[in-house]
Amino acid sequence: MTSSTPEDPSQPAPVTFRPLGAVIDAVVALADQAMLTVTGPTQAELTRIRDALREPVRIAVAGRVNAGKSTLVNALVGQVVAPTDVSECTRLVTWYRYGSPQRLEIVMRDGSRRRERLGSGASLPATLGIEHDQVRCLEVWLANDTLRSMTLIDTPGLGSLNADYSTATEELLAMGHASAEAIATADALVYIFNNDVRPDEVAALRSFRESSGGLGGAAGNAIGVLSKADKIGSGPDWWDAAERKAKQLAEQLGDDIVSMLPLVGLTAQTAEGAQLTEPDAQHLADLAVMAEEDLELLLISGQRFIAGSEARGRLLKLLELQGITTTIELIREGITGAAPLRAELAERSGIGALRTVINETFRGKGERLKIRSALQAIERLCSVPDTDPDATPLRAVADQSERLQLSPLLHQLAEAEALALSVAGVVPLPDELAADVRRIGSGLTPAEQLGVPGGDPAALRGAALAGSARWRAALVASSPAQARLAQVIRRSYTLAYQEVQA
Amino acid sequence: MSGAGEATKRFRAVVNHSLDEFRAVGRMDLIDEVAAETKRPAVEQPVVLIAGETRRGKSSLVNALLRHPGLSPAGPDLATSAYLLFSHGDQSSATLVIAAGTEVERRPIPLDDIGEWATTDGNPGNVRRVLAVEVKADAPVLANVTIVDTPGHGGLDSAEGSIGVPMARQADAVVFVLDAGSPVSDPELAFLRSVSARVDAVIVVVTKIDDYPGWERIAADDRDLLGRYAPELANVPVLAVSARVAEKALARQPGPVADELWRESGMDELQRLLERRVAGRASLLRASNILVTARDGLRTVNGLAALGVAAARGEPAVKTAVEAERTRLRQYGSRWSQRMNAGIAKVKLTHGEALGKGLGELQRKYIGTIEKSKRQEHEAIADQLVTDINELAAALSKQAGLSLAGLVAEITAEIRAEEQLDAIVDQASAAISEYGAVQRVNKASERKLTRVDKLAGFVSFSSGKSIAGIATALPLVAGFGLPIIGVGLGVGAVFSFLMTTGRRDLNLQNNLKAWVQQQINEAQRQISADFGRRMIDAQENLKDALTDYLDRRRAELDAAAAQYAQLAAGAGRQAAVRSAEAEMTRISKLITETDEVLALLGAFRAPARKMVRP
Repeated sequence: MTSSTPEDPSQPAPVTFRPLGAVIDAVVALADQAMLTVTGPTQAELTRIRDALREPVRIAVAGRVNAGKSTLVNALVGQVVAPTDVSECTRLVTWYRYGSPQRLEIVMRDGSRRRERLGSGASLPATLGIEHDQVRCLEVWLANDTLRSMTLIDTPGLGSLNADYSTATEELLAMGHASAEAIATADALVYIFNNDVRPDEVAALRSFRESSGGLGGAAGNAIGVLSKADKIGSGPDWWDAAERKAKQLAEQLGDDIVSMLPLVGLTAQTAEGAQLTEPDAQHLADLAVMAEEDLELLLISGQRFIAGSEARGRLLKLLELQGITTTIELIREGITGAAPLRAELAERSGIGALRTVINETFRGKGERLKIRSALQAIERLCSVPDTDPDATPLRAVADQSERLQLSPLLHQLAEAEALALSVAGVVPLPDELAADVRRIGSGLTPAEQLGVPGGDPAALRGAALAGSARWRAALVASSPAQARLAQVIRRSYTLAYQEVQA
Repeated sequence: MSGAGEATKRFRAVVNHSLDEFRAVGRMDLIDEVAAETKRPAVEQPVVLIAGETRRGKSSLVNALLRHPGLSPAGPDLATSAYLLFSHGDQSSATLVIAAGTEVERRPIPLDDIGEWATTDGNPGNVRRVLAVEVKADAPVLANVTIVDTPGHGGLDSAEGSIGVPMARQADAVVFVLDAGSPVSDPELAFLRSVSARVDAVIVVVTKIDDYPGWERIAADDRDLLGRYAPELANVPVLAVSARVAEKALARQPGPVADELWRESGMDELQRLLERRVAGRASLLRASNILVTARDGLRTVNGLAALGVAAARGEPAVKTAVEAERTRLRQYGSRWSQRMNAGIAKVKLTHGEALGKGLGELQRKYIGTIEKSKRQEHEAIADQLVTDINELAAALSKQAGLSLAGLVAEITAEIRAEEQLDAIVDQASAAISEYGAVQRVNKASERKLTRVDKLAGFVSFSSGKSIAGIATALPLVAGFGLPIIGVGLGVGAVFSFLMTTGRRDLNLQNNLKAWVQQQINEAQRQISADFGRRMIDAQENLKDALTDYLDRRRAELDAAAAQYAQLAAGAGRQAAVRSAEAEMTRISKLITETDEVLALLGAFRAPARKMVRP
């Protein structure tokens, strides 16, 4: 379990990217302004571009049937909204978005939408009462904090016998054909594995990677989750077994994924979704004081555990045997009450580590990808023949777009991209220069970017000049990729110098 | 006449009549299939093969069956990588059977060493070329069967040594292992269907029920899915077991608790099933398998006849199928080559990037080492650099090989998608030629062979293995006769970095640094050039195979279309329909007779229900 391991000194501190909110605002403003001058169809296209920018990063959750996709969605959202059994809705692509009022929207193939109410506890109904093949996807709108920063897309299982499932998911992940629409669909992928990697899963990961282009040819928008970490090994070191397995699978997959994390999905769902109640905690406390021999016999199998006890049946559904064993250990260590147990279980389920990785891997990158594609879309939109009714206003938009791209503000995007390339090892740099890129890409003020704490103007100017010189030198002896990166960083030092001067 | 005598007589008759039917339509391949079943060397004890995807718990199941925990090494960190043959012996012992050049060598090994030879722990991907490990154990269940534990299929690293469909089809009985974590998947079902067309005694076991509270629903789903998608498997027993509970039972002192646990593990039922229906029935199982094989052939011929009737009656289905296939071919042809070129370009790009990155790291590492080094260490440092460069080249080659294999797998997956229509066209053209008295285009079996050949040719180029060797070892995953090439595309595997400059005067740190720099640069050039050359070859080979295949298919389809037109316009139409219908009647009768003889023999699967070809 992720029992509060001290920071590994051999591991570098996680890279933080400077938030690009201001850049997004600028591009949105550009689109907004442009919208005032153009006609209907162009306006609609601009609206789409702008809305996509405002949307949080879209993360698809995929895997084989029963791998634990919906369980993970529930754990991340922190409430049990996605049905985890084989109900009708697990056969449809379902989007979980932030929004109020909470509701279900059924998106039909013809583009029309039907609005439905969510069941109690904001859960999806078991049946929809609509023919499946007419439904393109479901959208669940929830006033949920997690969904403010990410839109989650739950997908039907791959490799399933039911052709419905696989086709819907393949379409979403753009398997085989990288259609433009599909690229626009998901920014990132969380792929769920159980205990091995199958060829069809590699194919799914590859085609996702193909369709989403990746940054400078590097992967980086897919992570793997070993979602039933409690089923890998047994005995006291089961978590170690899961970690070893995760590592082994990550090695097999190479750069198709950024990282692979073990997770006890069900425990995470139970803990994060506040499913474990006080009566449950009490039942577990009763178990904790049972005679060792009796308890051991009880915990040999699920069937034995639930025999003749409804309360235990509920516990097994919530935690399964390994989760129950862990909770009993926790109680024996002195943790009592439902809320403290939930907190500790969440910690041990691996969900916290997964959240961190998702944040680090996807969020910043989602912003970068979105800004770039918005700028490209605007550029495409502007390149119209003179005969187009919008030709004149679009020329003006193109000018504005160009000005924006040359502005110091947009340079932040280039810096973030440079940092991503350096961190991913796509553009290798000597340690000293890599540290420069890191400061430039994550610093919020010139002082932080230049690495001069205190911010004495003379020291700042000196650091900016020195940095500029360092990177001019780096420009000379380097590969084309390094040279491009060096140009960006050198400009950063120049801009920092100007800012300090002012 | 005694019951056994009658059964024997009817058995002979039904097999001979089936062979007559196959001969009559020129399907020598079907005759060969049945003949292969009859010619298999006799064994005293039936061979029960434990098959299933990787990580399903096959080895744990075997250990529980033998009541001998740990005998077949199992655990989260290892997987079986070679065949383990378990048979009865008063003393436990193990014998290694290994290929030594062209000879087969047998030598005893300690029981503790089994893992060294038969698992990924000491023998990943069966690199040690173990043919089998024979294990003797004093287990009641082994009294009258030989149990074979196998490397699982369906995993990424299990391709080479994994049990293919052809292997499983040769067993007397097959225990197919699923787990309670998820319902039977598409590839698993394909495997089962293919095996059950040759093996009568198939038992499905759902493992790990102790660990998955939802096991009852999964087991029910499995039964349902088998019945729905593979009616021929509807009567296969599906047992739910827990090897872990069995292990707990064995670990206890004998007594009521241990007995209770053992009952709960479900192992009793499996053992009983094996003892009653499999053990000591080698010749019976053989006979059943011959009948099952014959019946499979009869169904194929029946399908052909039905299509022949449709063709002669001028029903549009056949023509539509031919035309649909042509259209598809046109569309897919260009898509395949685009995909291939894009894929190869990507492999090149990735290789180039990884090479630059890897060499950059080496350079940094060595410059650092040199700065801290003493003069007498310099020689060793230089040697180590060359080793590291070669290791890097080999690792990158392996990675590129895997990517290429993935590419081939993707393209073959598309061929498979097309193969469903392919089958229709095969049947159409065969049917047309049979009943239209026109020269037959091409036998299905012949064409399959050439297709495998082509792909095998590609593999042999890149792995350096012989075509024949590959063809027999082609791991079959997720389909019938569909090769998915796994590891071993050793693009650049034989690459060896050559130093360009001598290493005189390396005793000075700066000289050594400069030398390292020079070697790194030279390595980049050499490795890139070598890899580039190999990729050009790979691309050419793949392109040829693809073009060739597409050309051939086009010609076949044109011929089929011409024959179709000829038949629909021909004078002998009525006669053709009558003859085909008569044949269908005969074959249906034969199939019924086969089912009856199977029942008479007490075959494992109760006769399948009314046969319907999907």
